[in-house]
Amino acid sequence: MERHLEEMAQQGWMVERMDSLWWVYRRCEKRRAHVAVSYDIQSSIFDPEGVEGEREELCRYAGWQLAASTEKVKVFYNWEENPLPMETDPRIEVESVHRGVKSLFLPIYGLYLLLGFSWVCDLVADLAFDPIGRLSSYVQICQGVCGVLLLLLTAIELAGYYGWRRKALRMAEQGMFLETSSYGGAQKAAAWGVLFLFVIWSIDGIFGQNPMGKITVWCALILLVFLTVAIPMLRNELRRRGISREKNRMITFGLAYGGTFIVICGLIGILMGMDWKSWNTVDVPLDVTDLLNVSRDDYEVDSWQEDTILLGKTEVRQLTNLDVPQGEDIPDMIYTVVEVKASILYGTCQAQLLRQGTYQQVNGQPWGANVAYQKMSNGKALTSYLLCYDSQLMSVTFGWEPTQEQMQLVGEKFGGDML
Amino acid sequence: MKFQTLSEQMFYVLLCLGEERCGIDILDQVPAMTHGRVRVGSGTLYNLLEQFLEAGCIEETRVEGRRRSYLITPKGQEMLEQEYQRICAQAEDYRRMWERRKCGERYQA
Repeated sequence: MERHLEEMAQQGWMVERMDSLWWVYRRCEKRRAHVAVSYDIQSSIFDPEGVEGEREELCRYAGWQLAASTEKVKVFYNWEENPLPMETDPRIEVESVHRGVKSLFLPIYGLYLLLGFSWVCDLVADLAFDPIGRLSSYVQICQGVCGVLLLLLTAIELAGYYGWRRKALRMAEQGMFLETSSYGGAQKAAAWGVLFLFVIWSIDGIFGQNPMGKITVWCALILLVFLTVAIPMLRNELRRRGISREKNRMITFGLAYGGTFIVICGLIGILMGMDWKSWNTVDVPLDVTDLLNVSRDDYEVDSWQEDTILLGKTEVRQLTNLDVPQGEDIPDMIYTVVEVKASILYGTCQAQLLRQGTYQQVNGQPWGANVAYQKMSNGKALTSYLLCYDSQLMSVTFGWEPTQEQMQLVGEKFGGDML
Repeated sequence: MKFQTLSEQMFYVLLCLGEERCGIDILDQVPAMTHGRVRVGSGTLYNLLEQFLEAGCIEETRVEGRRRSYLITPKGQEMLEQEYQRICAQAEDYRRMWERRKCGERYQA
């Protein structure tokens, strides 16, 4: 941080404010500056602006001007040729850095490790047992990749810090300072990676077929802007007005929690009040009316579709309407179609579908399928099938015994070899 | 932080606080006392004062706005005394070894 700010000063930029998402610079004379970053565990991001404590007074007396501060981190500039450094005892410096890190960063990093680890475990479990669910949804893919990035980056930072601390303590015994190493490249790459994933997740949510995805993404975006822009702006305004630390903290946290609660309640309210049918625009690849002489009005249709560059998944449930009189022959049909775009995943997806029951291989030729399986229960064949085509897998349960003609029709729909 | 041995800067900060002083006074007093040989950085001084306070080696005697004054406690005095004894023992060891070496050289001559 110090090196970066010194380079910026030589280019004529001095940091003025450090917010949670960005730093604000202002123009200054291009000249060599000495920058010192110090951790003050007594300070708070809610402290009124312009109120100097003992540290700032001592530093100013020694020629170090406070330029910007954030939660417990203060940045000082000194424009003298060869100023006395702020830190002159390496042992004290290592100790004060460790107190700052323990107070501010370790709890957050602990949380990141936990979160990253749980997301990675989730990802590994899904790749083993539910690759279709995981890889057919950009939300799930993004979460998995974010988990890996979070875990890796946090582990690198922590290992780097403790490695530095061990070496710095050894050198401090000999009265020498040790420069901190920088993982700026890894951090930037990870930040861009997360931003890229966030954009993909947002686009998929907003423009995708899944209505819940649309609402979730909009709520998440609203919350993001609210918590990372509006709340810090309010906090800084209260600081500028000299509001005390306690009042500022109370107002800021109150509004942050209150606002989040309102958005989440609003989301739940919208989801509960939604007429899902009117949002449902999924094209059903196979309709029960294609196979039987029935009326579509006699059915409740639920369909769900997710799609990525790796896999596509369409789930359709056509169930008899509750107001259809009893005794009428209106059978149900439920199926899932998995479109395997990355052929390397074919075997894994097939294995997952086969794990959903006890299957026996049957003749796939009537279905136009490469391979077909029929579900068994207690030695009895059911009217559930797994049909394996070139790049599609279809798991279907009929409410009736399908005829040869109907099998052929299914095969034609899913591009099977009917010869 | 355990103060097993005091560094030079720790030693002189504690020495300065034999009288009630504030941080700025210490920043001026230490170089004056040591003819410029020892200087304490403002960040180091602030951290040292916090750690000495936590360890009970000094106590805060007065607060005037931002300015806080401190004074050494009996515990701090004892720590200073131990360090002084250690330095004296070191000096004495040096003097003895050096004289023995000088005697050895005169004998050979």
